[in-house]
Amino acid sequence: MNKYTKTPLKIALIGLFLVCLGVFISPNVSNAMQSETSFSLDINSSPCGSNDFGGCFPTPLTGSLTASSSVFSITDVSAYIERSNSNNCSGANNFYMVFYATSTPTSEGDIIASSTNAVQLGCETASSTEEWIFSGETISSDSFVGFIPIGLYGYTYMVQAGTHFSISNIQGDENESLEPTISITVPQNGTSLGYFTNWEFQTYNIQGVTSTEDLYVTIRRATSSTSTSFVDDSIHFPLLSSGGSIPRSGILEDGTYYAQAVVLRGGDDPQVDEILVSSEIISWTSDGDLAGFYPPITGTTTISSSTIECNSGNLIGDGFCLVLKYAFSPSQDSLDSWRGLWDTIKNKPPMGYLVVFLDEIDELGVTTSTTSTYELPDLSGISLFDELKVGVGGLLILLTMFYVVRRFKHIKI
Amino acid sequence: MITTLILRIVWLAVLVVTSPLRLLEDVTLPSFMQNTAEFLHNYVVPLGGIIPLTTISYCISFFIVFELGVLTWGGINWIIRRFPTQS
Repeated sequence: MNKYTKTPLKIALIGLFLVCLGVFISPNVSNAMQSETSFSLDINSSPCGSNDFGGCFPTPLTGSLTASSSVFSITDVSAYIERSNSNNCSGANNFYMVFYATSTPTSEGDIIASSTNAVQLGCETASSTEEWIFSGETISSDSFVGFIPIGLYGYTYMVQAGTHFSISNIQGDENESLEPTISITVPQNGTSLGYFTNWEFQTYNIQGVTSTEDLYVTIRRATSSTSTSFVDDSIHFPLLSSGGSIPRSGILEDGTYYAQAVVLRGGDDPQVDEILVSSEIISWTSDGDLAGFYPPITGTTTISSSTIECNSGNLIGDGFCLVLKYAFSPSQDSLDSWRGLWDTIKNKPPMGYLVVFLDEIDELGVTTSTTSTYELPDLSGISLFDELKVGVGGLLILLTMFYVVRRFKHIKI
Repeated sequence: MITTLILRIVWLAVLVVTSPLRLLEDVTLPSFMQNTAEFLHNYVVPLGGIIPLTTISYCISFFIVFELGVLTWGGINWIIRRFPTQS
């Protein structure tokens, strides 16, 4: 058998080896397959079913949220409203989106337009299609869920045919004793993040709190996905706000960054104030372009398909172009399928042990900590030490390269 | 179409090969190792002003990955040579 016919056998053995190693090392396979108690309801459209108020009045959505949970959360509610009439578009004629009502909200008497139960969408002065995204709203389990656009005074019929509402996700938990949780998310699936902006956070069931006046949400940087160390570089805002940008201090290099959201009571210093609840640590990757104050950061790996345009005006040339594009340009779907593949398996045994171990090693390279055992004088302003660091670092890289070259010479394949 | 097809096939193959791994739990380091790393980190951090800690950690990581790769490759070759028809 020549050396080329061994390759499939080697690959098969590598796969078998990894699988067997994983099965033997894994602490508890069955736990990974247990069912979750959370549920979700997806509603993608709302038929425009009533003309009672002169315009197209979308049928209220009454989701099947009849589970016994005490708290639900509505996330990612998008409302697309097309209007061709801007009559009375001022002040009290703003649109509201009702997040819950005590009965099916089909008439004005049922609509709850208070600040806590409805969200003001604003009143635009021109025809447009707009989108609002909300998160973190909490509703009672005993209520129906309805979404109605209204103008408070006289229903000025600003909603026209073509209006539709999209509620991408309503989710809750069937467990009565919900633990307080907080999560932060970033746009997914090809959304161009640019900087680390447009993120949202959601809070659920923060117990024992009657007022949010003294609550703060802090986004703080962690040093790894399992870290207990945090960088003194955070952003704070009142609990009811959302979105923003992660500030930076010092120089951000290429690599993976981590962040955690915490809800604090009494102040915005996580080292001092009481932490009520913490989110999981999320991560994103910086491409190292330091243009501007904030580093460009992408929340997900964005792979774009070819955007070749075959419109040169030459009929034959464009024809060939289209044929080649059809034959060789990958579809966006096929590229999207690779997104996140590594993330789904990188923490699984056996390679997961190496990954988490290397994470710990990388953490040693983080030069900021709030819990140092001792302190040396601040040497950052002394150029001699900076040059020394650069020199030693370069020497280390050279030695590593030399080692690799030497090592390759002695590897027996 | 051709590139899409190739990408799909490779993706499917990767998915099949890694499917058993997805059933497993995420791993975490034992607590004593995390504590040790934390302890070490707290001692090393103050030296960051004069020592290139980031470069050192990258070199250590690279060394570990490289040597583990060599070891795995050698191990697989060793197993293959156990087959009677292999040499």
